[in-house]
Amino acid sequence: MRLQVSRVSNSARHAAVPLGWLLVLGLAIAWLPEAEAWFRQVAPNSRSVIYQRDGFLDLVLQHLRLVGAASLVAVVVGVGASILVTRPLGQDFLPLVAQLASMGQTFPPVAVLALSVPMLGFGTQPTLLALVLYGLLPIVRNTLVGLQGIDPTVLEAARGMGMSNRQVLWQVELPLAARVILAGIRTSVTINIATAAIGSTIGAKTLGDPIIAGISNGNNAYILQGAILIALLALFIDSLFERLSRLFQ
Amino acid sequence: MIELRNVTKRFGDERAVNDFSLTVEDGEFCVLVGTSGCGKSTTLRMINRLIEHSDGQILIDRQQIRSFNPQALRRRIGYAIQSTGLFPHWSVARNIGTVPRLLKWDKPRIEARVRELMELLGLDHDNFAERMPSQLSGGQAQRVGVARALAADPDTLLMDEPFGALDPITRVNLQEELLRLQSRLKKTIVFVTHDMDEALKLADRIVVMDAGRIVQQGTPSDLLSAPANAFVESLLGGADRGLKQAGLIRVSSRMRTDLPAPQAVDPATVAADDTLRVALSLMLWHRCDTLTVVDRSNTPVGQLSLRDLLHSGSS
Repeated sequence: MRLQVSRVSNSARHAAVPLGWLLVLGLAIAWLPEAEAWFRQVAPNSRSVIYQRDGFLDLVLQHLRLVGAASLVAVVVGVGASILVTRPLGQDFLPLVAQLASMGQTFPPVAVLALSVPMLGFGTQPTLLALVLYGLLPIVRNTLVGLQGIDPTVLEAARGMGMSNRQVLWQVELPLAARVILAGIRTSVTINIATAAIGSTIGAKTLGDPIIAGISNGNNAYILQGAILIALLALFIDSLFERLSRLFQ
Repeated sequence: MIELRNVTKRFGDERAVNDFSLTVEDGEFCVLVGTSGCGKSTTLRMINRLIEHSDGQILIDRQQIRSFNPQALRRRIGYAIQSTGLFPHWSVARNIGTVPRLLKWDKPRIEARVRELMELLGLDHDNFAERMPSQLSGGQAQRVGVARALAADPDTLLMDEPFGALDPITRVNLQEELLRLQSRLKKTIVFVTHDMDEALKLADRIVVMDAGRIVQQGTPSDLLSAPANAFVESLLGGADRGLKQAGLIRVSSRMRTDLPAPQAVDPATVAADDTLRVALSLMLWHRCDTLTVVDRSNTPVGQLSLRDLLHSGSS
């Protein structure tokens, strides 16, 4: 009984960190519009010091939706491709996939945006494409490392016991690689929370909007507001992953 | 019963196993011995189709193994390997229950079976069931590995150097344990090792392999008394052969019971179910040529002299 109580309070303590960041983020969203006096000091010469074209909550949600959609695609494509190329059938494609993923990382997101606008037009879609490409590498790399790092005798035992290929994958390989894969997803999502802001340059609605507006108008207050919210959002999401990764220890 | 008829395995142009024929009878403990790369592991893995054979036929209970779905075949053959291959993310109980779960046994039946096997292998259920493999010693992990191989009560057991990674003491303990289990369970076992002493100790029949072929097969004493060639002789340990052979014969088979009971003060005693090797060592140690043979309750039951030891008993 005592053991159970301590386990509950333990998990409550771990959950407290993401909840804390969520609270700070919420407070920031509520407080920023009221903090005119503070922001006046960073941008004394600007007419308006609070970004007002969209509500901050709205921007946070749009930003999250964009990153969420891109990450979902990157996870499905990245994990799926890594699984395929570690099967006997897809082994020939292993070097290719590993290389493509690292190319995705070396390609600056800005360049992807510039190149994809002519094809996809302005707005959300080219941003989504850039984020997916940019987020793939950490996921592919970690999934490959996780799957290839499994002790071969464990896999031999699994097959020798009579597991089907699918059972080996779902019951042995993925659970054993889960921590490493999750770490890759965490890196990918955190990077993309920051990167998504660039989407604002081609008309996607993100937390980059106040920053871009601030840069073009010389308004440091706007820049600061966008930056604060992006940072808090990244901290909140990262702490969620931190909590999640504990489940696999 | 396992039959291999003219089985060949080619990897590219190389023949890892070459025209190999062997029949392992029901309840027989057959040990494949050879140096690394001689094809003994490949032979073992062909039996449960982890490796497909290129030519020839492999039959289990008179049925071609190719006629089974590989997964179904493997679920009815126990499999234990070196360094255990335990699933590190599953508890001991869950590891042992792997094959019963694959066979969709219901939960209470699996639980009861796991409990039974842990008892059989000398693992305290309350203490070990929920431990993770990383919390076990090498010997304990190997016991779990053997329990897992036995879980669905297969008639056939394949063991690929299961004790290869253990220290000598744990290794001997587990060999004894396996012999004890086998005398109760009477499984058909194919066991692979490079250690001839292990083979001599465990086997009903030893199959010596070299370069993918059988060099010699027979009972341990067949091999010791008539090694087919220099290779088998070197595996048997050359000059130590006499001692190894003595290690296979029980004192009880050579002792004399027709002599008057010796004086009980004689400190040089040997147990009736010890081997002649032990008896010889005791004679060297006590510097005497006659030992008093005692039974388990330490009562004298006969005598063993150096003469008896050297000549197979005429009495």
